Amino acid sequence: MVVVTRLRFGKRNLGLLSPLEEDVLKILWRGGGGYKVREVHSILRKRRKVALTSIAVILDRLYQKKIAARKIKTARGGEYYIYFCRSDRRNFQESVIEKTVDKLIDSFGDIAVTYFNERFSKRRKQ
Amino acid sequence: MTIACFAGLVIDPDKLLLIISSFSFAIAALLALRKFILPTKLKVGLIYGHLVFLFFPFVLLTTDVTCGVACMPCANNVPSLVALALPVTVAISTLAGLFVIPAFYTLSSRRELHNRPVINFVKEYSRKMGIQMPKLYLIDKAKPLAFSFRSLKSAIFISIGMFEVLNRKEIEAVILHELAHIKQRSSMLNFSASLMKIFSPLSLVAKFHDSGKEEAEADSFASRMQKTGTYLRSAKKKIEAFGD
Repeated sequence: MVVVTRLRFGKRNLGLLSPLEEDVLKILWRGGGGYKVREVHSILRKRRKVALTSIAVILDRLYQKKIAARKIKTARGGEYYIYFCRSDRRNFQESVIEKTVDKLIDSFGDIAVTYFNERFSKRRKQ
Repeated sequence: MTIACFAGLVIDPDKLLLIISSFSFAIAALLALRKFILPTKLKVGLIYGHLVFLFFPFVLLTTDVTCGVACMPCANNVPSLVALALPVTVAISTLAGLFVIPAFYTLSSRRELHNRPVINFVKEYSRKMGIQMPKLYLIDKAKPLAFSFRSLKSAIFISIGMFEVLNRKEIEAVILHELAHIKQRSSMLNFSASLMKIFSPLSLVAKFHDSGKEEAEADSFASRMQKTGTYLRSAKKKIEAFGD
């Protein structure tokens, strides 16, 4: 028996991230030389009420998920992390799609494969 | 039989297998410690695991020799040898852990702190408290955490997350708390006792140590020095908010 616990594909949800994670990631995608925790916080704070601790937690979570990378920088004030994205938006979205399709195939097996085949051939005909 | 009894040490295939597997587990634990970024609790668990598997073959062989020399029935009897050797190994490993774990953290935290205001603050308060200035190490972790050891040399370990999430006054409150632990000369015992509670059956022995009282004393010292407990409270709140 297949039990589907959570498959969310809402407008705001990329599938693997929480809304706050997604907002933080969007800032990291802007590029540049990476962002400090406080920099991400000051950008996001203009749009929504969020604590500095929450941003630090989210950035660490993105790092643990290997979506973001970080390096230690040393300045006069001491050491801090600089966070940046491991891949650009398009590559990330592709990897989300790949993981999602893999999960669907793992969960539903042949039914999922047959469905994708039918769906793609229908789309090609259109 | 008599010669075997007095010689004590007879390596049969069962014992050999035990020794080889034990050393293999010890090496695997060491490799896991070197290779992966692991949570602190798991890291400490692996250190204890490594010590147990490292000491076990030696204790097993020593027990075997002792049983042999004393001509006891446990000589060359693998199950009874293991039953005797295992608790002894756990006891030795737990005691060794008290010295090895601080050394492990000191050696693995190769980064010394470069935060000038923090270094000056620690220098100033160490002098005021009449203690030798502890070494300051940086931990590569986003979670705000700080702890101190006073074994052979005193040291304070502070994570990078601490500087990112806490403000200056809050960081000072945490450092004062750690300096109080160093002054108490019991941070080592405190740390080890809390580790024992998690990893070792010797946790019953660890009950003799009331770490709660020490924490309260360190808290009140920090609040007294800052003339307010606000910063320490807000620092703790932020640390708790980060979770594990």
